[in-house]
Amino acid sequence: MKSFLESVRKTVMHEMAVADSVAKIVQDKMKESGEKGTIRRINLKVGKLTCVEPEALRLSFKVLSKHTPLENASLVIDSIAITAVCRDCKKKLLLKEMDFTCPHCGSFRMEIKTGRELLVESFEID
Amino acid sequence: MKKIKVLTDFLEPNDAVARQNREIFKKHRVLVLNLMSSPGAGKTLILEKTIEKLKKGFKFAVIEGDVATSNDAKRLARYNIPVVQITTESFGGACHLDASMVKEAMQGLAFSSIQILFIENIGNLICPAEFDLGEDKKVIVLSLTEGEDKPSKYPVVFRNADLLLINKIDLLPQLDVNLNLILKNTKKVNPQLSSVMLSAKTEQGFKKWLNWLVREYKSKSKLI
Repeated sequence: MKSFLESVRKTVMHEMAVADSVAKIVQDKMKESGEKGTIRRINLKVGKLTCVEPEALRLSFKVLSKHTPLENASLVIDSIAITAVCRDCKKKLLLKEMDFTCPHCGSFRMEIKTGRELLVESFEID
Repeated sequence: MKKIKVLTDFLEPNDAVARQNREIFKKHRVLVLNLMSSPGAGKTLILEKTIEKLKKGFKFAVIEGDVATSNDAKRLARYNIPVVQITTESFGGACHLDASMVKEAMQGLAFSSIQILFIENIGNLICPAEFDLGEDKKVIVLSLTEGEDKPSKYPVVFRNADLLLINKIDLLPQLDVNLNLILKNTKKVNPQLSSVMLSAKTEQGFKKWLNWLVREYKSKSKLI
């Protein structure tokens, strides 16, 4: 039962779950690389077509990384705009709102190109 | 400073567990549906009526996600089906279920005697959208009383859904809500999303949903 409750604890807020996942990915990669330095920056890409709020993620990471090897690392979040290509008129679009109607021809057939990213791109150590 | 490339998706740790869940469901040919909605949209009543109507032909089970109570699990347990409750209150109330919570709950279920498993997610239109649980299909319930703009306000959950159930359709004459606008707003965020209008209370339109469910089960179990 304990391990189940522990798994619940990690998901109090979903950005908390995401921050935990980021920490795990970075620590695994650090181990794999054999590097010994201090992790200073973690570079993330977060698309606007996701449910991850950058400020909540930063706060969650700060709380979660305290007293761990990641406590000196700051999150650098690159927010990625939603872009798409209309499958009918082939025009490229930058979507400001989440309206997937083509402003040129009225088609709903959009191919999302960017905006769904949730990526740990890299981290920096010294 | 030295830069180390990673290029890993954040959701990968969750997705890895979801893939394991999906394998287990596939092995046992269990159809798994993840039910999502705002609080009070009618998920539990829809489940109660569905189970009541199809329990002679199908073996059901439910994983019930809830922040604080086991009220919904108690309602469903009356139908003599296996119900596993996930309650998250003591940790501040998780806002969604994730794949590892479902994996843990799955240990309480005998899959050899289950054909359709419903996972009733926590009532929330934001967080559950991103978390794959290993389900076959995501079903979103929107009740008429929630107004027309929910698909525009919570596009991610609508974009990822496979079926939209528009519930409480019996209230249409009493409300100022514009049903066509709901459908139009839904189409803007997810043009492929099919929808069923129903009332779990009066059972209007319910047959169409049951037909969808049976069809999905048959295609999962390769009976067709």
